[in-house]
Amino acid sequence: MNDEPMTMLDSERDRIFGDWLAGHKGILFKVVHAYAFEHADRQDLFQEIVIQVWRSVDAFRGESSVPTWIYRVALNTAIAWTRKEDRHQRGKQPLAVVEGLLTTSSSDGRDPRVEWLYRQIANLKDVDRSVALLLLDGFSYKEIAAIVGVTESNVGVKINRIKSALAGKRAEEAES
Amino acid sequence: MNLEDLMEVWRSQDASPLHGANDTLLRLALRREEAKLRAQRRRERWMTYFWSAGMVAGMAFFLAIMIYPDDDDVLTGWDYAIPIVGAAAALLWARAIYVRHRAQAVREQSFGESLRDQINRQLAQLDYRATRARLASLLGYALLPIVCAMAIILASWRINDRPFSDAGLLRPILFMIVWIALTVGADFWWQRRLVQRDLLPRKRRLEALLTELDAP
Repeated sequence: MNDEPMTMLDSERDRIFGDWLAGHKGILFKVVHAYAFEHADRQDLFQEIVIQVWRSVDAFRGESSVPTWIYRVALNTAIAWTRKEDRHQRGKQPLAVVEGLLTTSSSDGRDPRVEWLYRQIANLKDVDRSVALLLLDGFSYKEIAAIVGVTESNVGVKINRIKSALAGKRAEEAES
Repeated sequence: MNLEDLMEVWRSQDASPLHGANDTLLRLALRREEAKLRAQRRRERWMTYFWSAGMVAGMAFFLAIMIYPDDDDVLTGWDYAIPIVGAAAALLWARAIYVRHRAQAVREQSFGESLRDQINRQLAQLDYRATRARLASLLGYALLPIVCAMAIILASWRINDRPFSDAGLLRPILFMIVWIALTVGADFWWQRRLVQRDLLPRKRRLEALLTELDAP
């Protein structure tokens, strides 16, 4: 027998998810690019994030904006995913990855400094990486604190450290 | 280059994203996930129903045989009480599993959605899994099935018109005790191994992440 028939809730969830994806797909791409570095890993992480965002539709109560919610789910999934890496290496794939789900766009016309930024973000610790992504996408200290679950003052300290690291790297590269 | 410049560079990728997604494959992945979720929920539900129904049906069968004896054996009130106690233990077991899972679900839902809450939720899940590696918890979990098994042995014994004073009764009881001890022992060993090899390292990584969150 096939699965149970789809309920109204399922179709409603699919509709909401479709709207979210149409409007905020870029967030998922950014998180995937910042946390996974090989094509196969990016496919895996993208699929995992998509599924978690889709599952999270039911839990969304509108207390935060949709981009904030999607960022929150995507970052949580990405950080959990990086901790699963050793399991992946032992051949225990949690998901059957659908090949070709994520495509890589041509870099024509793209500012090369975007890749530079990603390289610098990749050198940060997991939590600082999340803070950096949110900072660059214009989230306030308060929003970042709520998403990550730390105090605003702690966010301030982390951001100062990230800024110093980026400025230091920029200066170092300018000298050489 | 100041932060404003960096943000402008960052935003430039919105017009020219690094990646794209195949919508057809995306839908396929979601349908697959949906089917997997439904199958998992259905399997868990039916397993509980199946085992409880099986136990209760078995006890009802024994009771029916006792109520409609085909000979003139005298059955006492204790003989009738045995399958009733067994069935009650089976129902209680199913109920205990449900309550335990429900309490854990409520506990997990009590966390929010921030990264810190997610980490704490995962720690709660790991702690829940780890309880199965404690011998006292495992024995507590096995207690009601032991009562059921004992009821089955005693009811079968009485249906075959054999008195409790018959020394032969010790054999199936001893067999059951050895069987349960082996099963519980093997499960305990397996769970301890799982905790040491998988859960504890995961827990340490989560705790390190919490420390990283709090670090200035």
